Amino acid sequence: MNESSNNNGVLVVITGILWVVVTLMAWFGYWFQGIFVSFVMMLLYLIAGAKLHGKLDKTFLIYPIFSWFVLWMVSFWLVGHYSDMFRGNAPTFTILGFHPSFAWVFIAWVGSVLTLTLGFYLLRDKWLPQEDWDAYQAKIQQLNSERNKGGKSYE
Amino acid sequence: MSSGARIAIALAAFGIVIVSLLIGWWSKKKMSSAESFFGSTALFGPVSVGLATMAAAASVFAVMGVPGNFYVLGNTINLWILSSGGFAMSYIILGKKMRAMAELGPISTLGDVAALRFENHRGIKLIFAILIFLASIAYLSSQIKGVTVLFGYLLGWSPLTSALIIFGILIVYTAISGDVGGLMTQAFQGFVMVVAGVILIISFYMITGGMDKAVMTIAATASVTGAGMTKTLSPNMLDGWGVATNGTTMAFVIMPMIGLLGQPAILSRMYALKDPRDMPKMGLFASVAHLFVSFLAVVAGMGAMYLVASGKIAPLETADSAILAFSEYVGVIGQIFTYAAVISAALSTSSMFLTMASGMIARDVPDALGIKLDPKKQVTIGRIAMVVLGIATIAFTLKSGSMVAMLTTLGYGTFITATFPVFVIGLLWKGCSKEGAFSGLLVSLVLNITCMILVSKGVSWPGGLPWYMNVIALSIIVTIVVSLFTKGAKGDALDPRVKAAMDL
Repeated sequence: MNESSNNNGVLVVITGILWVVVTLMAWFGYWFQGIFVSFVMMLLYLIAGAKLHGKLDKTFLIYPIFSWFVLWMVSFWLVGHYSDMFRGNAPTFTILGFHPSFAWVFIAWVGSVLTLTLGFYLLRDKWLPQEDWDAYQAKIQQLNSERNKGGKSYE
Repeated sequence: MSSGARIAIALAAFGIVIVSLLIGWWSKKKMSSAESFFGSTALFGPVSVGLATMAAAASVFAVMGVPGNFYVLGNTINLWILSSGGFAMSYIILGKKMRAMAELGPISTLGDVAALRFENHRGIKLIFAILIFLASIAYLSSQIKGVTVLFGYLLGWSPLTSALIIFGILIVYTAISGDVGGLMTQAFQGFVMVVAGVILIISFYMITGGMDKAVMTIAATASVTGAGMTKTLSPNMLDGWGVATNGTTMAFVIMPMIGLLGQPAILSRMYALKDPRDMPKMGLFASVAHLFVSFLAVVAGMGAMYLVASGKIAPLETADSAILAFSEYVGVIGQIFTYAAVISAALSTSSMFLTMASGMIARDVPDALGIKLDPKKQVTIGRIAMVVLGIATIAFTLKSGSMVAMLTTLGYGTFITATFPVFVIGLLWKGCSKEGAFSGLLVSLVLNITCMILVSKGVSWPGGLPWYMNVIALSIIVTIVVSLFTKGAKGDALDPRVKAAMDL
């Protein structure tokens, strides 16, 4: 196996373990902490998927991926913080009109679009450059014709 | 509601259905092969696929169920809005690999991609088809139920009449033009949902005078009694977690984001896109459209609760009527667009899953059983399957209440248990073996059916976690562990073309 598959192998095994860890954390009452472990799991999936030929562009890692990760870690910590602060009582102030705890869900929600979605669009060439797609199509054409010469069907 | 308003709403709702039929009819000229009939493979641009993806992902539950659940659980259910960022997350993780697989051979269904990745392993294709089929029917059934309730409330029609008219037309246009018509109508329906979102959001701010006024009014009200009903409110409903169990709250943070990656409505649209480099643009359209539709659900739930808390309307008889009560207060325009949005959500999700289920019957299951059908025959069988399945699901939904309740346990979570072993692990990791994916799917199938029965008997799960979180974790870890000790369709044994797709 080449370098990329080995790298993703480690990442995929860790994400599998993290799925189990998150589930067990919920079983034993550590659901709030489990949320943050799940963000690490999502981060690893993003890294595994964003790689191109086994390598991840550093700019793409910083924005959109890591920016989203930091935003969510901070936002959901604040969701919990303000929830604890006002649990059982009416909030004494609002943020953006919302209960301060839900306001951070709102910020995480819009923020995920401003980081992941917008960053993905702005840095699309880092994710899949035209020349890599063209090279891929040429490679598939070549492999297909070699395979057809060998009498193998693709269906 | 005045009879004039009732007529205006009904005309608008039927307008959506008729325009969808016309789009379906018009789109049939684009339908030229089994690939286009079942999967719209590499046919469309980012705007239409983006809107269609959002519309198919946002079902009746999103538009009607979320405001209804907000009335009961508070903001726990509003964590669903987090899906807006999930589109880009899904595309970054799997988009280029999935689209690249469509270059290798004729891809019509997700089962075809699985077959290419795992050396046409029949067991994988069969179990995958069964899981997707069951969850698709569950989704279809939920949409039928939602629409029949809506039209019963609006026009006093019997559930059978509503279902036969609305879904009869849907079956006709889906059978005529397949997924090509399905995708085009979904894009139109997605646009209607966005417009409805804009109108209801503006209305909410006009009626309440601002989100802060709504929040503070609800937070200051302990309970409201009226029309023989009492609604108890709590400020806890308004914080970020709401009042559901902790496990459910955790699942509702995780599932809208990473769970979206496991939805066939997302995965299959990755290969419907003509140019994979347009995927970021497609993500932008899907996300922004989803922002409006999800905020529609937030303001409708919050609006209904505000109206109850401020004594402007009596407490609701059923939570699911929250969006209808809010739109009734908004006025005729609000009602027209609310009903249009609910119909659009139902039709878009239904056409998606009807096509998917028919693809399983006409293409994946015969292939898994070693029966080779030529593409023309597949399309013919697919059309027949759509009609039979559509009518059978209507009959099943309306006649078998307890069975339907059991089946609708499956859905979002079931899709994840089916797609993660095959696509997420399978396309991210060259070390994923066919034995691993097969074992993961087998565990999924057995546990989905077991849990469906246990849930119907009222069994609850440790930590208050929804059942599917446990099944997802187990199916994923089984796939990984078995892959580590087996060799089929992994590493050096991989088709070099699949390797090239996975390297992208």
